[in-house]
This record gives sequence, C-alpha cells and structure tokens, in this order.
Amino acid sequence: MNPNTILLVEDNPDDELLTLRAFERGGIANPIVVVRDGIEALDYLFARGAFAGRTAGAPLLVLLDLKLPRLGGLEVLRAVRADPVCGTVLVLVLTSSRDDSDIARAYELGANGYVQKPVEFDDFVRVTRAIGTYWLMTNVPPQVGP
Amino acid sequence: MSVDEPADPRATQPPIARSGEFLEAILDNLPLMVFVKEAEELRYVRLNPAGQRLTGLDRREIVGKTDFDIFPPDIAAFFREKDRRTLEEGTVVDIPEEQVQTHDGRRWLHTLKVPIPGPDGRPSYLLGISLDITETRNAQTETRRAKEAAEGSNRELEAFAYSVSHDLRAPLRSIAGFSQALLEDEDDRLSDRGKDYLARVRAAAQRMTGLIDDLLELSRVGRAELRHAHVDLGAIAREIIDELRAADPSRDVVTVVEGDLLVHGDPTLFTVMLRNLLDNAWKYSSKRSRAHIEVRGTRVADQLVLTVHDDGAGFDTALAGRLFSPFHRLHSATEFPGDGIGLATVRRVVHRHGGRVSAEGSPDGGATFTVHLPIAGSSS
Repeated sequence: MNPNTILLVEDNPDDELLTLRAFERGGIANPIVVVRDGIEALDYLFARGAFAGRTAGAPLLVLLDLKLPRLGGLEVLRAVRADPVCGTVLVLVLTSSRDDSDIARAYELGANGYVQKPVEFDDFVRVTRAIGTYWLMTNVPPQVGP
Repeated sequence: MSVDEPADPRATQPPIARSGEFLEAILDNLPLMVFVKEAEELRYVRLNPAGQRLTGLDRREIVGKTDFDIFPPDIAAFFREKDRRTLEEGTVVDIPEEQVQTHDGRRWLHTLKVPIPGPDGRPSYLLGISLDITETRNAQTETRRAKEAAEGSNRELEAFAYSVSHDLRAPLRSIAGFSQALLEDEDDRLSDRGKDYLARVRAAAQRMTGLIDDLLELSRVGRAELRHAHVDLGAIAREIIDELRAADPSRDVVTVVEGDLLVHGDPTLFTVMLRNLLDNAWKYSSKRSRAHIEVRGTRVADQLVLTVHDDGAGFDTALAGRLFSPFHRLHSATEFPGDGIGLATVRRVVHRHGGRVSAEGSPDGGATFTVHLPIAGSSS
C-alpha cells in the first residue's frame, strides 16, 4: 500500500463526503481509504477479514470518529495500541463531541490528537489544512510494522 | 418579701409536693415515655402512661419482664447493648435514633438512658426517657428523597441536553456543508433568487450552531466540577475586551476596568461569565457612535460586588427578572442577534459560586449588571 495513505473511519456518509471535499479543498492529495465502523477499521489495520489480502503496511494517519456502529472509536483505539505490530500508528480523533470525558479517555488510550469536526465548512477546510501542514508535512511519523 | 419576715416554707408548697404523689403526678403527666429497669437482669419495674400509649403495652404486662420477653430479638438486643453500656460507663447515654416495636408498627425514638445509683454508689436502676421522633424523621426522609429525585432528574436533563446538542451537530454540518458546496459548484446555474435562498439556509445553520454551542456551554457550566483558584476578574475582562476590539476594529468604544476585582473560584467559569456579560455590553451598545463599557469591582464586607455597565440600548428594569431565564429576550433578533442563553449561563456561574446577580436598565439608557460573589469562594 501507499505509505502516505490516510485511513478515515467514518460511518456517516454525509460526513465522509464533506471530509473528502474538505481534504480536496485543503490541498491534501494523499490517498484516502474509508471504512465505516470499528470492526472494519481493525480489519483494515490488522489486514484481516475483508482486507486479508491487502498489501502490507500501515497508514500514515488514522482519522477516527468516536461514535461508530459495532465497535466504538475508543475501543478501536484500545485494540490498536495493544497491537505489537501497528500499535504506534498515528491516530487523530475526529469527532463532533467535545465532551470532557471523551477527550480525557481518548488521550488516556493513547490518541495522538483530538480534533472537533467544525460545523462550518470553511472551518472544516481550515482544520484539514492544519492537519495536513502538521501531521502530514511537519511531523516525523513513527516506523510502523515489522 | 422582706428580709426580717422569713416565710413559712410550707406556705409556698402545694400539699401534693409533700408526698410521693408529687413525683407520681409528674411521671403520669409527662408527655415523654419514661421507663425504669432494675440493673441486675434488666427487668422492667416501671413504665409511665405516655410510654404505655406509645408502645400499646400495659404496665402490668411489662413489669418483671425483660426486653427479650416483649420485643423482637433485633430490637431487644439493641436495647440490651445500650443498657449495658449505660450501666458500665455510669453516665448518661444519648441514643439519637432507635426503633421500637409498637402496636402500630415500628416507631423511631430519641432516647436518653441514665444510670440511677443505689446506696453503694453502683447503679441499681436504669432510667430511660424517650421522645417519639417518627414524624420528624419521616418528614426529613421525604425531603431528602424529594431533593435527591430533583437532583437526579436535573442531572439526567443536563446529560440529555448535552447528548442532543451533539447529535444535532451532524445534520447541521450536512446542511451547512452541502448548501455551501452547492453555492460553490453550481454558482453559474443558480439564479440570484436561488443563491439568496441558499444564503438564508447557511445563515440559519450558523445561528443554530451558535444556539447549540451556547446550550452546550450552559449545560457544561451546570455540570462541571468547580475548581478553586485566586482569580483576577480584571485581567480576564481586559483580555476579553481586547478580543472584542480585535474582532470589530471599526467600533469606537471607551472601556474602563478598575477597582478590586480579586476573587476566589473557578477561572474557566468566571471567564464564561465575563465573556457573556461583555459580549452583551458590546452588542447592545453597537448603535452608539461612541460607546462606553465599564467594569468595576468593590469589596463590601466579605463580598465582591462586580458591575458591568454599558450605555447601549438598555431595557425596562421591570422586565429584568426574565432576562436570566433561558430563551427570554427583550430585543428582537433582527434588532440585536442572540438566542437568550448567555445570561442564563451567567446566572448559573454566579449561583454555583454562592452569589447572586441582578440587572438594571432603562430603554435606550444603558444597562448595568451587578454580581455579588463571596470573596472566599463557596462550593456547590
């Protein structure tokens, strides 16, 4: 897989479309893979289930919603951090919630950052641009995988 | 009475006091249960009429018996333990709450147990005096339950408001995002009227975003755990005023921040309070070519009295009480935009710190908000 891939974990199709549009407007050209619940996210990251045959490697960045069907975002985060192979992958929580307990739990479980999805699209574009500038261009990512 | 004419002591005593009848009469008419047990085997020797009425026991049934002959084992064991303690310690034992089995179910008593010494100085009797506190106790329990139920439903309501506010954001993001996408992508195919409609949709989505943010803040102010710190309200007010100036540089506003503005409490909540008060002062004075906003603090006894004054649109003081209820506004949204939540949030911050807030104004004559806060801070 392309080592610059972004994994977007998002169950709301409207938010998926808006996020992709915001990335495009924000000038982020990385390939984006979208999965729609927590189980699919783990299947992708651990290259199992529907993703058993995918080429090896971890995404550069995971954008993780918290409210997800089947398995919630915080559970996904816990499972990822417990994994010896992709435990250090960069995970940014991207969610509507600004609940103090969600923020605290996310960091306790090892999120690299926490970003609230803005309602205004222009703000959303600004946020994605900031994510691109820092997490994709400035930050030196960890070596993930064997 | 003169000193050289000593009174005959018998003349001052009613005849009854000269016999044991005096004590009998007192015991019989005392509206408290009085009982006496002998100290050896703790058998009853006496129960006064108030005690008989309370328990439904006849004195003839009870004399010579122990608590275990009369009461259920749990109650008898409790009485026995207190009796022994009273006799061993040789002092009055206060039992603020104990249960007794009566003909009318169990009742609550406040009891004092007193050792009565015999000729050798060691206790030979145990005297008990009990007041029936069942009604008071039930009333207290009822009040406590009602209070807990009210607090519980308040917390539920807060949590509900919080969760709803979050869930409302997702569809709003779609409304705002896709109407903007339509304006951007289909610009050349939209009529002016179509563009105007879309602009209205976007503006409405923006207002609703503001409403949700304000509701979330109101809910958070009510739920957040209070932090305690020394807070300089003057420094916070100056920062907020700087932000307001930066966001609206065309305004000509003369501001004054002065006086004793040091207080103890939660810095985040005080920032929320001042931001809401100053936002209002800034907004409602926007039609003045040169506006004045003043923040002043004075110390009155153990309270800080904070006033935030503006010379803007004002309001009729008679209606001021409503200002602090959520969604109540005294101006139309076209005249001055707003959702009516800010002052409800202010009041909540002030109440959580054990203070109070009031408002004064006159139509077109400006407004003054006065906050009284305990300087030492208070938790709730």
